[in-house]
Amino acid sequence: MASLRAAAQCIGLSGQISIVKDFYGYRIKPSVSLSLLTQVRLLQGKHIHLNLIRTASFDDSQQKQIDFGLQLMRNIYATVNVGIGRIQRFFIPPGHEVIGGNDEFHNLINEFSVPNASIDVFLVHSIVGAAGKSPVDGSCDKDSKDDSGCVIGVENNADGLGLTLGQAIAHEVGHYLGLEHEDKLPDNLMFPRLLNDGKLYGGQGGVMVLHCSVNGGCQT
Amino acid sequence: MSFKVVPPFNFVSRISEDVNVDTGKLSLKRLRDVVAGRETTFPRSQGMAILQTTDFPNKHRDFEAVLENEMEPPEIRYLAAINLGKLTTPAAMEILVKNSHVRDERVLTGVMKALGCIGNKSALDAISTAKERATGLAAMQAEFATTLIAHRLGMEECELPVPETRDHLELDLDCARPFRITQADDADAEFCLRSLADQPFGIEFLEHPMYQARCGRNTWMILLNRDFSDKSSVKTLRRRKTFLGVVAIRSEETQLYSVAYLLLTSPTKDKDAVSILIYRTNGDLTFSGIARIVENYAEFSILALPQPGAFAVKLEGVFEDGRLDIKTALSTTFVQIKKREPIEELGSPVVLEMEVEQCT
Repeated sequence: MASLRAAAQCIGLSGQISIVKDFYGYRIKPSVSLSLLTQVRLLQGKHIHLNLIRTASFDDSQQKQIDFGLQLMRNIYATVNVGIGRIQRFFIPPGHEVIGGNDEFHNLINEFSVPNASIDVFLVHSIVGAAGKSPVDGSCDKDSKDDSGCVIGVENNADGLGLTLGQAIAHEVGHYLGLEHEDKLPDNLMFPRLLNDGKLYGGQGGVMVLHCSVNGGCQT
Repeated sequence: MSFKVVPPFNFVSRISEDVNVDTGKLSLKRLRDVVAGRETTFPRSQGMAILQTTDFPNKHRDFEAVLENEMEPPEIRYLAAINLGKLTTPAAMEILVKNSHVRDERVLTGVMKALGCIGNKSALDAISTAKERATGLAAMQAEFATTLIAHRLGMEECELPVPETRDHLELDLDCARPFRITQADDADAEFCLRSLADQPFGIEFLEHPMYQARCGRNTWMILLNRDFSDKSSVKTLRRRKTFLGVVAIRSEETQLYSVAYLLLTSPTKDKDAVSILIYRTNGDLTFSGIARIVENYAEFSILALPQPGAFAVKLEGVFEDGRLDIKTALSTTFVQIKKREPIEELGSPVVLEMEVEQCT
């Protein structure tokens, strides 16, 4: 397990560690089997870390969808060899449960941010008229005036499973990592409607790994 | 029944942010069932957004039923209130006024927000009553709704504290950069107006001129109230409160604009000076300044106020006959007031070796 400890250290984990919680970001015990080997291999390559910041309370069903969605996102990104490393969970005080438009999206991401190098992903109850919002090629400098963070509506993407939510998170973080919409590729993750086939092509992976929030490989 | 083929419930084609549903396959009945919570095959927030865009004349009753159902989650009732606010009809306003006594703080916040957008003098009475009992976010939103209506209608009520100059964020010229504000071309102006069609604030925007500002990666549009486009507009600023216009921000993802700031003015004790108050749509005062009236024009100066994520801005220029002439537009390149830190959720850690067995 030496390589696992090295991988944990590489993504900022020390002391007592929960694999499913700290490595995979689960809040509720997963119902699927997880491959540590795959996860460690992905961390040896380019990978990102996420701050999941909830603005509302989510029930068990929604929590399971979030957990499942994160695993789906991990699987989608793995197809272009981009790993999801550490996932930390946060919450903020009431007032941003529902995002009414771009103005409220900007208010949220300009008022709150986690002072670390991970991408801020805000999970709100719902967004009016959209499944999620993100700048394209988001900023890595959280003290700059540029938008740093993306927002996903959990209710907007509720399908009882987490498929849509997972694609929505992967889609918005995809924007953040520099991907544009692919209007002519209905099977692509970046097609502007969900659910799609959630595919990413090698060229898109090439764009993603150039983003400043992507970390180099862990030496495990 | 399809929106596309069966009159009179045709789907109204308009620009909109994408929703996750193929609207062509939706029947009105199914859509209303989704909004009512009787069908759960797709999210209600999306159902409300789509119902909002249809020409179904009784949609306010669907939103009313959701808003008044205390068994519904507060966020869904909040959304129903916001959607009523977008309808801008007397019937919708009547429903909002009727619900200005709801007990849940989040729902009341939505009702107050919607009333602020479309409310008239009669709505002010309901808001005043609500303010007596409202707490937290609802109380703040009720206060802001009063401000907004008073300025829109040019009423005497609602005197606001005007920030003093020392409260503003200092602009360090060594760290400041100019940003461009130019007159928007016709296509951009038209697109912006279309984007804002479902964000009523009870004013009509002037199509020409409209001003586009580029600051960092963000693109903004300054839209002025059509009521202040003639030669008497500066005199009006001196005489009464006004809702002078809005600043809209463009989404990088969809390119659509949405209102980000509301430009309000109030006369001051000095008859040749007018206070400028620029609020976020949630009621946070973010910029303020002063306009000095000289004959038929107003020389204005606007600075940023300190709050989480704020950066210094200095904007100076002249307003005359519904036109802006910007002389100075400077901002710092970084956030000067630190953003608020979210609170980490800490669960009980589990020993590494114990959980390895759960994984393959």
